Parts: sequence; C-alpha cells; structure tokens
Amino acid sequence: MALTLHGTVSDNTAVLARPVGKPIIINGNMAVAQRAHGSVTGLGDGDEGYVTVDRIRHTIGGTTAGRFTSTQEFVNDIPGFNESLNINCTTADTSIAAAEYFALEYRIEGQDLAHFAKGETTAKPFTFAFYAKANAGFDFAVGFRDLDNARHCSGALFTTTTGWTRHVIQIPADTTGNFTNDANESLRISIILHAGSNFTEGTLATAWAGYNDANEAPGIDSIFSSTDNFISITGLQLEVGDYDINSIPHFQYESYGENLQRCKRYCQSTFSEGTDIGSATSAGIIITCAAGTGTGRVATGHQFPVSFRAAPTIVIHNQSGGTTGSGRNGDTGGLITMSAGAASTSSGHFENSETFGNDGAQLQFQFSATSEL
Amino acid sequence: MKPLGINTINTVKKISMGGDINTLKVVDTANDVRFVPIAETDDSGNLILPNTDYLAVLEWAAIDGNTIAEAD
Repeated sequence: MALTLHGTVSDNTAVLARPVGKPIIINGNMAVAQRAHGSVTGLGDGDEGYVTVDRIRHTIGGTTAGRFTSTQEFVNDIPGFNESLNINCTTADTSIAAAEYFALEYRIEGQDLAHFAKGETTAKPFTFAFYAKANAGFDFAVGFRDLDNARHCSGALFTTTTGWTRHVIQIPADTTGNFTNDANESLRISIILHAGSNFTEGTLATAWAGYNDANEAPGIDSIFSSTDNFISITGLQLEVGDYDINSIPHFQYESYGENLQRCKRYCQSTFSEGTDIGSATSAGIIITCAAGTGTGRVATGHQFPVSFRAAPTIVIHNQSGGTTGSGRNGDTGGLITMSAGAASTSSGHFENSETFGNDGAQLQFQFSATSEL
Repeated sequence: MKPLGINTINTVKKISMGGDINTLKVVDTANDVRFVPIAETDDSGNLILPNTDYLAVLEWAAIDGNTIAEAD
C-alpha cells in the first residue's frame, strides 16, 4: 500500500517523526480517575501522592499552610477534551518557608524511554506540551528530572492566562547519563506551582546539569497566594523531537478503554468504573466461602487483569466502606480482619486473619492495589 | 490515602502467606491497613524491583526507635 502525503513534506514531518505508536504520557487527557471522581478536599497537609486522576501525582514537600482541592473537572470550553485536572486553593499560604514545595508530577519508567537515546551522542531533544488555564496570569515552572543520573533541566517558565492556552516546552538533548532500562522511575516531569527558597534561590536550569534544587523554580508565583487561585490542566503530551507551537503534533488520543488498561499497570481495584475506591458498595465484591472456622480457612487468590509495574501494595475494603483491613461475614454481617500478600506483579492472595466462626459462610471483600512510581 | 513515608507510617509487622514471610502489614497514621510486598534480593543483595511503599518502610525502619515486628 502506498503512503500518500498531503501538502508539503514538512507539513507531514510531525506525524512521521513520532517513533512510538502510543502516547508516552498515559491519561494525559485526564479521563481516568479510579481513586476519586469529582473533588477531594483538604489536601496539602503532607505529601498527597495520587489523589484523583490516574498517573498525576500531587507532591507536597515541607510544611505548607496552603490547602487545596483536587478535582477531575468536566470541561466544555476546550475543543477536543472532556476532562481536566483542577487545583483550587482553599487556604492561602503567603509566608513560604524554604522547604515548601507543591508540584503536579508525571513519572515515567526508564524502560519506556529508550527512544530518547539519553546519554548517547545521538540523544534526542524532546518536547512537553499541555493545556492550562487559571484565574489570572501566573508564572510556573516545568521541571524535568533524570532520577538515574541526578540531573535536571527546567526548560522555561510558562505563564497562565484566564483561557485555555497550549504551552509547548522544548528540552534539549542530553548526551550525559543513560536512563536505566528497568521498571523504576527514570524521568520526572514536575509542574511546579509553589516553592520555597530552597527551590528558587538559584538560576532556572534551562540546560541539563547536575541536579540542584535551587535551580528548579526561580521566578515562579505561588498557587497558594490567594484563595481566589486555581489552575486547570489537560492534554499532557511528551514527544521525542524539537517542536514549537506550530509544529507540535496533535494530542494523540486513546480510547477510554485503552487508556484505562494502561493506567492499571499502576492502580487496580474491584470497584466499578465510576465508583471511588473505598466506597460503600457491594458491586464488585469478591466472595469466597469458609472451609473451616479458623484463621486462614477462608482464602482465595486473584489474578490481576493487567500485570503491575512491581508487586503491588494491597488494601482490603469491605462493602460498608470506611474501615480498611477487613472483609465481611456474609451470614452475620460482622467485619473479619483479613490479610493480603504473596503478591507478584500478576496475582495476590487473600485470607481471614482472625477466627471466622461460620463454616461454609461467605467472606466478602473488595480490594485496591497500587504500584505507582 | 496518603503515600507511605516516615511521617505516615505507624506500625509495621511481618506476616506469613503461603508458608513464607513475604509481606508487611503496615498501619498508617490514619489507621488504614496496607499489605506491602517484601522485595526479594539478588545474589549481590540488591533489591529486585521493590515498590515505592517498601522503600518507604525501609526508610522508616532505619530511624532509631522504629521496628518491623516479627510475624506471629
């Protein structure tokens, strides 16, 4: 079959240059939110990790008075996107201590970055693009950190507007330091929204260099400067190659199902799509029957539908919601302390860890499992 | 549920599953219970693909006064 090019060769360069079939960034359109749909409030009193939309980490450093709400927000004012991640300041912090830090992070396994050829003489530049809007014009930073070689580069600050703006940040090639070929974190992309002097007292690292926290975010504003503040982001996109706002390829869509399957390498649960992990529901419960009354006499295995990045941490939930670490006796309705373990990337094991008492009765439980970067 | 870290881990105890001790029961400061797999080591003693929670437990356990309790 012949390949037909439309327009000039340069018009087609962007599409032809993309070396992988799938978008590097998973869930860049913020469509999947397994942990919590809608809003999670009161965030900021410590590192928050993964909160709402999958794959986007809410990283807090130091002790900030700032608090925020994270929301998977449905949007209708940006063509081509249905969801965004919204960060809304609910408590201001205008006295910023040196170690304070808040960033939205995307972390990538080293084995998925071979085509960057980082550390080689043929290393490729890359480009990060995303859409953002805020309540006002703020300068924020995007940091790129090589965890394997303790190096970083910040590209340039970006300035928000009150409408959706597509920001395109070019990162030069780095001929120093290969990404390690494994399932651990090698590249961290950080959209830095708040930082103390530890991260701002230097000069923005616009070229790759040994990691120096002082050069991560000089010149940025703070999302915590006022409770009027918010920022929304979507359309996160990472491309190998050097692109600008005119040449950056279109955002590469995946079907929701494909997107969800890729997210499950890092987070899975028995809860239904659209139901927050840990909710009080019997939909999706695993049921196993007692083969005796003692500890470990109600047991079952579970094969994960997608292999995890690493053997996952497992949390057991029950259909009453709230308490973790317990299942439910189907006859009595009482909670039964359970254990999970012997987990591999492919399967896990569950059993009762206190006397069950009702031979033949059902043990009912839900679980969530995570192996995030 | 906040990520495990030196400020969010309350207690850690080894548990046996399938006849082997391969898991840690971790209770955090919010009283949530997590089961964290113990990473295996290679011949040189290097951890084989530990998950980030296991690394957090090791960091917590390295602080004086923090102890991983043995299995029953």
